Amino acid sequence: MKQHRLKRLYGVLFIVFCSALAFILVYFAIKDNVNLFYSPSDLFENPPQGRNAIRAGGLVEIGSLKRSTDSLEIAFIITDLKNSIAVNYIGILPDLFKENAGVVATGYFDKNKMSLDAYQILAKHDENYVPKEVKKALEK
Amino acid sequence: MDFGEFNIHIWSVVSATGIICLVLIYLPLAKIKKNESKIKNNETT
Amino acid sequence: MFQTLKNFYHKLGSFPWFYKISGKVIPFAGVLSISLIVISSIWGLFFSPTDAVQGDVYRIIYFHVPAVSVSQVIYYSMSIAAAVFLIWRMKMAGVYIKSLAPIGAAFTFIGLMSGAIWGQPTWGTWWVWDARLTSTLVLFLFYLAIIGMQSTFASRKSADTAVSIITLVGVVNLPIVKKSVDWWNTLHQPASISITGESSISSEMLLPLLLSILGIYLFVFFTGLLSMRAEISTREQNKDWFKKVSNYN
Repeated sequence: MKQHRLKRLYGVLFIVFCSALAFILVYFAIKDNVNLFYSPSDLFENPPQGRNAIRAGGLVEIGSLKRSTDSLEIAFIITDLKNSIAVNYIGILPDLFKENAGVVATGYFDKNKMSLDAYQILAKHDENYVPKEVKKALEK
Repeated sequence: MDFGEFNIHIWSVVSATGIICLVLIYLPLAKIKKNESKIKNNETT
Repeated sequence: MFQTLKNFYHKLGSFPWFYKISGKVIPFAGVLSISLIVISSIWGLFFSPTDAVQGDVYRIIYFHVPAVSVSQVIYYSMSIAAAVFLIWRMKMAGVYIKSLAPIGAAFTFIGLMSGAIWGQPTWGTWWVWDARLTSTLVLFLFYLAIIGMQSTFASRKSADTAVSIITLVGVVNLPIVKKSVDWWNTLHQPASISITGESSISSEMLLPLLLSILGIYLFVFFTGLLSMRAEISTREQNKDWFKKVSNYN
């Protein structure tokens, strides 16, 4: 390659390098805030300080879902199969919410009781796409 | 999906995608036509 | 072999040659890509099986996945063109970036919009600030910056240079978009299609998806050629070869 082109190639590499460095520095600055939610184990190891709302995510423990008969109040347990926290919520659940499926709950955490008073429940879809008929056949 | 069923979520995505794709075809075509005809007009006048 | 490649590369830099060849390729690419998109859409919307968990709304995947996938590939190709422009001063590379940026922005927008419309019934929200969604929004903003910068320069050459630099700055964001779902906790699910391992989407649903991805890639090839032609017809308006071609048509 000719000399002046080689020089410009280094220029190009330098731009990409600087930009990568900038992205990495930003990443280290906001590292703890990139995760959308805490897992129950995170909450056990490092209970969040202060009274800000947090998000907790994991699986809805099988058999833990309790619905109130006369209101929209519900209670369930979020687990990451090592630790678990209790969640209370009043409101309507997304369609995909069910036991043993992923969930992200936003609310206020009580570290003494290890429970979360949620004001928003989001269902997390996994990467599996299975036809209805196949699933029915598998469950038989 | 059944043919008779109407799902607002799906059809809004389909129609928005369709419109954007048509715009992506139309805009450059119109520009080419305009530029080529501009030359022709200059030549004839 | 190397010599033919080199010849091709030099021809690729020639506006008259490109204008002639693209005019021949465009009709075929157009017909093929649009019919592929129509076939895969009908297959995906009506004939592929309903998802066990999400129901019919999962069919948005046949528009969402191809759009975001192609928007990332367009950006990668634009950054290669940016390097070519900066190193070899190839004018065609500038034309490429300018023509493809709006297409990339359009497909990033389709990806974000279809994702929001899918997220509302399945997750329970249109938007969350998780790593995947945010980095895709950053990609969209880079596209907008590239489009916006085009008109802020007096000369074509300085505009192309500045745009190339911005394009290269943004390329670092792409691996983040791709890997965000593996590196961090996100609401967005990890990839369902795997090239090396087994895909976590059933084959009856995967087949129309792959077809729709192919269709969109061809469509971008088609509209990419079309808008590059449009850009060349603007830039070369006063050149003799263009006058000759226009009068001949």
